[in-house]
Amino acid sequence: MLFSSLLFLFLFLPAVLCIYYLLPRRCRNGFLLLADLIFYGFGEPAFILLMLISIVINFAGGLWIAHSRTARGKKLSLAAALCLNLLLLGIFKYAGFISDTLRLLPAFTGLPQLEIPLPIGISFYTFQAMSYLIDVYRKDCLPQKNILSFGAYISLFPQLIAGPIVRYKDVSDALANPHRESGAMFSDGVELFLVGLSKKTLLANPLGALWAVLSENPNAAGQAGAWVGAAAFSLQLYFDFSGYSDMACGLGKMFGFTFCENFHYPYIAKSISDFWRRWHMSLTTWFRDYVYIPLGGSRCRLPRALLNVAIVWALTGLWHGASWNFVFWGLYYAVLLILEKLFLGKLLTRLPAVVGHLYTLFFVVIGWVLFALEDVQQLKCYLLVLFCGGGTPDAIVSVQVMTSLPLLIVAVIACLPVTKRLYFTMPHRPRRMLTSICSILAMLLCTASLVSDSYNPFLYFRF
Amino acid sequence: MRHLRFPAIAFMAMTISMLAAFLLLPQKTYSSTERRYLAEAPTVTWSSLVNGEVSEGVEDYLTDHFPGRNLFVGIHTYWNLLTGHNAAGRVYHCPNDYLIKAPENCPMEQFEKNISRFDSFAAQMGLPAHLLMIPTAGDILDEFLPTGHPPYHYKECLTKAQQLCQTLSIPDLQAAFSAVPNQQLYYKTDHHLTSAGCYAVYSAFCRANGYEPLPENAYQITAYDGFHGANWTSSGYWLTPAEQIETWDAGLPLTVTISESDKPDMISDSAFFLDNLHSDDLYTVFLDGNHALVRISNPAATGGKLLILRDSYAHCLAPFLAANYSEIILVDLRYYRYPVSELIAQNGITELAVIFGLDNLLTDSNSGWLS
Repeated sequence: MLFSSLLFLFLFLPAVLCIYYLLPRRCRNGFLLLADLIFYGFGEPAFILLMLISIVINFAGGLWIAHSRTARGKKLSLAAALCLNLLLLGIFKYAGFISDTLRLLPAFTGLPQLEIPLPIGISFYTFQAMSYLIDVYRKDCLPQKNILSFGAYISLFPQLIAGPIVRYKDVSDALANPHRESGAMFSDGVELFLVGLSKKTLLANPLGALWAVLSENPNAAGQAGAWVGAAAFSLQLYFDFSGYSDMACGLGKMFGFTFCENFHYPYIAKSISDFWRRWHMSLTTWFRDYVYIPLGGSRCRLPRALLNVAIVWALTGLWHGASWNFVFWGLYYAVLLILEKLFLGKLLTRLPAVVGHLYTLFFVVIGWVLFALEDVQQLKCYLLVLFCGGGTPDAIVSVQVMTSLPLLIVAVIACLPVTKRLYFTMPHRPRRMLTSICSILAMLLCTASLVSDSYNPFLYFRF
Repeated sequence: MRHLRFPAIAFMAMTISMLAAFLLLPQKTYSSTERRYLAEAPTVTWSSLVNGEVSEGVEDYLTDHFPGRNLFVGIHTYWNLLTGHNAAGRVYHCPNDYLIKAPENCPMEQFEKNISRFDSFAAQMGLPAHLLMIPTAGDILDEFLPTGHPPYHYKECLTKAQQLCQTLSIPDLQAAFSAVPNQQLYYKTDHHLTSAGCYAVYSAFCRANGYEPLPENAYQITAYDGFHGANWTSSGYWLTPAEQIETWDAGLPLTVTISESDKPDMISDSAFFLDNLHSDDLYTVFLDGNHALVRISNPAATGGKLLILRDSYAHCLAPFLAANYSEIILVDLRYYRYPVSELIAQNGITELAVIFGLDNLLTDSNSGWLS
C-alpha cells in the first residue's frame, strides 16, 4: 500500500487514526503493531510471516546480547543475530543476483535461475533491526522487553517501506511513553505529511512522466532534451524520495514519534561529500556508524582509509539494488569521494562556491542516469546523446518539454531553501493563514491527481 | 488533543467524511461519463486473501466508487490546463468551447497496412471504389489549436494513400472543407463530423462521382440540445457547455435493418433513432450506434447498391448517401466476421466505399478481418 494512494489516504489512515485515538493508551502500541502488519500484508500477505520471524529473531537477539555475561558471549550472540538478519536479506534480496553472477563462471553454469520475490521494505527494516542489535551490544540503548512494542518499532508502518531508517534509540522513549501524542505534534505531522504528499503527487509524478518520454528514445529527445530528461529524473527522484520521507515523518508525528530528517536540500551541496551528508541521511549515517567507523574510518593509513570508502560505497550501491549497475554506481561515488579526500575537496574550498555547486550537480545528475538506466545498451545510448548530441527533438518531445517548463521551474525553486526561509520570515498570523490555504489546496489537488490516475474512460466507443 | 490546528482538523474531516460517504452512499454499477461498468466489491475467500486478490479488488473498488470522482477528475484537468499542460494533453482545450483531440502519435505502418488491404480488396472485387478518409478536427481547425502542439497527419496520409492505392479513388476532404468556411463541420465536444460536416463530405463525394447532391434546402433540420461528446467525456473539461446535435432529414422512404448475429433484426423507417437522445451517447441517434451490419434501402433512389466498410463517422454520413443509392450496406469489421466478398456477391453490390476517421486508419487493425 502506497501512502500516495486513495486506499491509504481515505480508508486505512482515517480508520487507523480513529481506532488508535479511541483506544486506551496502554493498548495503542499493540494496535499499532496490528495496523503495521495489515499495512504490510495488504499487497503480499505471505510476507507477514517473514516480518513476524524478523521481529521474533531480533527481539530474542536483543535480550540474548543484553543477558550474555561475557564480552565474548555478547559478541557471539550479536554475530549470530546479525548473521540471521543478513541471511534473510541475502535470501530474499541477493540470492538471484548472486546465482546470476556465479552462473557466468564456467564451474557454476548449472546453477538454477532463482526468482525470489523481493519483500517490500526488507532493506529498511533489516537495517533498523541490525542497528538495534548493535546499539544494544554497544550499550547505547537498553533492550526492549515488550515484544508488542518491539514489533511496533520494527514494522512501524510510516517508515516501513521507504524509510527513513529509524534507530531504536531515537524512538525508544516515545514507545515507552503512553502520553507521547499531542495536538500540536499531530498538526505538525499533518502539515508535513501534506508537504510530502504534494512533493510526490504534484511534482515527482509529472516529472517522472516527462523522464519516461525523454528516456524512451534518447535520439528523439536530442542533446538538450536528454539533459532536460536527466534533470527531470534527478528532480523526480528527490521529490519522490524526500516526499516519502516527509510523509513518513509526518505520519510518525501523528502517532507521537519523531523521526530524523532524511533530506536537507541535497542539490545545493558544494561537493559530493556534502551531497551525501544531505541525501538519504539516515542511510549515510547508518553506514558511517555501523560500517565505516568500525572498519577504521579515516583514522588509519591512507590506503586503508581509501579502501574503507570503496567498501562502504560498494555496499551502499548494493543496498540500493541487487545488480551490478548499482555496485558500479556506488563505486562511481567512491571514486569521487576518494578524489575529494585526496585533493579535490581542498581545491574546491579555494575556488568560488559556484564551481563546487556546478561540479556536484554535474556528477550527481550523471550518477542518477547511471542509477536509472539498468540496461547497458540504453545507458550507452543515453550517455552518447548527452555528451555527443543526437537528432533534433521530435514534436512530441518538444511539446512535452515546453509544457513542463513551469513544472521544472517550480521544482527547481522547491529544491532551494529560499521558500522555507521566506515562509519563516512571515509574521505568525499570515503564515498560519497561508499554511491553511496551502493545506486545503494540497488535499484537493493531490486527491484530484490520484483519482484522475484511475479515470479510465472506455474509449473504444469512439470507433 | 488540544492545540490542534486548522489543517489537521480539515485533513481529518476530509478523510473521515470521504470514508463515511464511500461506506454510506449507494454505489453505482455503471459510470455514464466513463461508459463502462465499475469494479465490483471483491469476494473474500481464504485463497483470494492470501494471494493478494482481495487487496487489489478493494483498491479497484475504492478508486472506482470514490465519492465525487468526476469532480476530482475535473479539478485535475483544469489544474493541468492552468499549469500550462494543454498542448501535452490528449484533448486540447481550445477557444470557442472546442475540445479537440490531440493527433495520434504512431508510426505509419498500420495506416499503410490498412490502406493496402482496402485497396487490394477493392481490386479483387472489381468494383468502383472510394476511400473517404475523414480528417480529424485538428487537421481543419488549426487556428484553435494550442501553440506548440504536435503536427496532424492528414496531408501526409493523403499523399501516402494516393501513392499506395491503385483502385480506390480518394477525394481531398481538407480541400472540400475549405470550400465551406462558415459551417461548423465538427462537434465542439466530440471528434465526429456534424451533420453539416457530413453534408460537405456527401457533396464532395457526389461531385467527385459526377452527380449533384441533394440541395441543402431539401433537408428538414432539427436540433436537439444536451450533447456532450467523447472528447468532453475523456478529458474532464466539465465546464464546457453542451452543444446541439442536428438531424438532417430529406424525407426519404427509407427502411433501415440492423443485424447482429445473436439478435433478431431491428427494422426502422428512419435513420434517426430519437429514443437514443435520452441515452448517455447522443451520437447513437444516427443508425443506433455501432452494429455489425446495417442495411438502408431506398426504393425511390435511382443509383445502384453501395457497400460501406466503415467506422462511426459513417453513421451520420450514410443517411445522406441513401438519397443516391437504392441500397447501402454498412459493415463494421470489428463485429462482422463473415466474408465481405460473399456479401457483395449475394447482394449484387455495384460500388464500394471505405469510410473511416483518420485516427482509426492510423491505429485500428480490424481491416485484417477483411476477406
